[in-house]
Amino acid sequence: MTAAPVIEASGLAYRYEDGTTAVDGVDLTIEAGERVALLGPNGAGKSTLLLLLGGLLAPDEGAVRYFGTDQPADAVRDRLGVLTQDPGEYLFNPTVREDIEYGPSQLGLSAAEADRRVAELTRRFDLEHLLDRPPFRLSGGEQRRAAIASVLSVDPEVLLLDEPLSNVDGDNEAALLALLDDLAADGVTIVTSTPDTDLVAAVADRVVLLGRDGRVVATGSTREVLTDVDRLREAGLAPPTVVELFDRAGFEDPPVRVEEAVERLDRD
Amino acid sequence: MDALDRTVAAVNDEAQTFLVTTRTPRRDGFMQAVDPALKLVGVLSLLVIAVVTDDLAILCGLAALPLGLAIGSRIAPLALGRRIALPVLASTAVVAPQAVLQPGPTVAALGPLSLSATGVTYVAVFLVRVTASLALLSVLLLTTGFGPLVTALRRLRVPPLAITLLAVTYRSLLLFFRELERMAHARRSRTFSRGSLRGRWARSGSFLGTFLLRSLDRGERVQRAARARGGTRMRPYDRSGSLGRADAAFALLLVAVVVVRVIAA
Repeated sequence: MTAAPVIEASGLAYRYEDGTTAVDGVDLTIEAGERVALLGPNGAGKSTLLLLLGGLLAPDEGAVRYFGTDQPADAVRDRLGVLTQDPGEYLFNPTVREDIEYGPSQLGLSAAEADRRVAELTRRFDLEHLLDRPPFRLSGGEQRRAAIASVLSVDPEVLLLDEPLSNVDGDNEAALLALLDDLAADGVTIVTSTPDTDLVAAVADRVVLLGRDGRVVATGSTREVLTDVDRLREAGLAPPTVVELFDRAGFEDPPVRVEEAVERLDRD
Repeated sequence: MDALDRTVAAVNDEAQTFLVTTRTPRRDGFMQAVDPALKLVGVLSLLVIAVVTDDLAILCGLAALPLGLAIGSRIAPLALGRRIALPVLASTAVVAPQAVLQPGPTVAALGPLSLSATGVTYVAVFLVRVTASLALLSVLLLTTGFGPLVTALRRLRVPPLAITLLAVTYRSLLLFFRELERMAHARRSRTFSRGSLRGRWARSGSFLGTFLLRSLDRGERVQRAARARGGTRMRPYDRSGSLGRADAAFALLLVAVVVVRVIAA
């Protein structure tokens, strides 16, 4: 028997109070274990779509189903982790420890289990020395790490991440990408919104490209979408640097990742 | 920096100092060792005694008590004084006219104004009561993190709705002041000339209006983030241990205060 999709969105539309359309007629099915990127320029409605998929905004039209059931998102919060864009808003407790514990306490997990998760996550994200600090006194990168630790503290099956690598330096970016790879290998479904075409190949196997009108312009494998330079430009995005380089140099079927490009150059 | 910038900076500093106490609760002191629930009940009991007591000597004793507790808890008396100075000064401004307005025998004259004995006593009792109450509350807040305080309220069976309201208010106040700080920085960075007084007032009004709108918007987004993480109820883990010597000493202190109050009555 095939497992039900973890998220099925049909005909999603959302308009702001001033009448601006943020998301328009989006149909999207996300299967268990997939890594999907919502790619689009600023103002394409990526964050709004992510909030709609996470059940944190009510759509004006359409509906979202979770895990093949008609349960509302609030009933499956323990399976669905949503990380909003601004860690300053995501971390609202007096200390980092209380923020990481917030999810487990809401789920009614024991203090011992919460302690275990806090210890594991703080070690993984190098947050031990920051546990008793107020989150808003941390640097941008530290806040980002604390926010990701907080979303992971409920051990979700699906992660909806809104630009999780913005404001993160190189070392932390590499660590976070490795972590996302580990989570994906463990079967966690990961949906990432980003305007950064250079990042997409590292976080997704499938891409949903959104246009400025809040509609889906294209959907397909990461390679298909990222190598369609004209379509990316029409959508208001620059192609990945490595794709652009190979494209300009006249290579057929340009690579989408740096590692792939290195291999290709070695081979050719 | 204009008047608005200075006011915002001062209010923000005071508010953050008041709301976010992270260092003093972790110090190795007397009140830090007292169980948060016992501490909460004890301080509230002392506040009730302060409110129902008119005897100046007892009130002075109550005002001295938090000073002793602060020293025992490794909190600098000056820090405690700074924390309560502003509200005490504000209270003084409010109550001071009573020294003149209350009828009674004159004890001193300030130009055409006569200070009555009843009025002076009234003002003194009022101010010592305010000082004692604020200092007791400050010692409680300086020695207890917000999480343990909420846990104590839950252990004391305070209705969950009241605790959630308190937590949301606390969270909103923190956000409110952070937003204010961010906006003030942005405003300062782009203010190149002082302009006319009228212009400055107009800009300040616009700034405060925008601030309120942004605070509402930000509050909504934080509420959404809380929902994303399972809900908005506040229920930190209870990690309080068994009662110890500090708890017994604090309980004895409370009993002593009650006994003195009863004997005096």
